Amino acid sequence: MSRTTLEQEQAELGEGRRDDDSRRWRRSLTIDATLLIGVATVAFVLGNERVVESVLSNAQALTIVLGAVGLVLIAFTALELRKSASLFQEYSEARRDLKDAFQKIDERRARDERFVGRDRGEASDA
Amino acid sequence: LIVRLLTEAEIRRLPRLRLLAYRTQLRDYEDAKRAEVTSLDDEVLRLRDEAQRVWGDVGVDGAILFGGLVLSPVSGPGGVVMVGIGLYRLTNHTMKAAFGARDALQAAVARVKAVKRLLDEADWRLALIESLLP
Repeated sequence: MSRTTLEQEQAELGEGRRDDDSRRWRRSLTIDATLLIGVATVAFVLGNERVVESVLSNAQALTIVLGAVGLVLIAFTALELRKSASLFQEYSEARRDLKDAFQKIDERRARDERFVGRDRGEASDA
Repeated sequence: LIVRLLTEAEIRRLPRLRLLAYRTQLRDYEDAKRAEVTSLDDEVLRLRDEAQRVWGDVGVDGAILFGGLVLSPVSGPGGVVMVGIGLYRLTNHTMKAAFGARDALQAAVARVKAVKRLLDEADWRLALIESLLP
C-alpha cells in the first residue's frame, strides 16, 4: 500500500483555495473592465450633442432595444440561478453521505466508550 | 491539524501506547473536519438565501423594464430612463447570480467531497486500531 499523508491531501485543498482566489481576481477584473467601458460610453454619449438629440428623437426605439437586452439578461440570470439550484442539490447529496460518515464515527466512539466503561468496571471489581 | 496516514503494516507494528496516541490524533482530525463542514453549511445556507433574494430582485427588475416599455409611447425619455434603471439593477443581480453564488457553491461541493474522502481514509485506520487494541 502506498504511503500517503493527510498533509498531501491538505496541500491539494490549498491548491483549490488558490484557484478560488485567481477566479475571484479574474471576476473583479471583468467587473472593472465592464464599468470602465460603461463610464466611457456614457461620457461619450453625454459629450456628443448630436448623439443626445438622436437618442431623444428615437427614445421609443431605444427603449425597445434596451428592453430586449434586459430580457436577455433575465434569461441568463434565470439560467445561472438554475445552475446554482442544481449545485445546492449536489451539495445536499454530498452532505447526506457525510452525515452517514459522522453517524458511523459517533457509533464507533460510543462503542469505544462502552468498552472503556466495562474495562473500568472489571478493574474496580478486581 | 496535520496527521500522517500510516500504512496498515506500520499501524500493526505500533506499540500500544503509540497506538492510543495515534487513535487520539485521528479522532481530533475527524472533529476538525466536522467543524469545517459545519461552517461550510452556514456559508451554503447564506448563499441559498441570497439566491432566493436574487430571484425576487430579478422579478422587480422585470417589472421596472416592463413599466419602461409601457411608458415609452407616452413619454419616450421617461421610458428610456425607467428601462435604464431596470437594466442597471438587473446587471448587478446578474453579476451576483453568475459569479457570486455559483463559484462559492462549486468550491463548497468540492470541499465536502474531499472531507468525505479524508474521513474514509481515517475510518479504516481507526477500525484497524480498534481491532488491535485488546
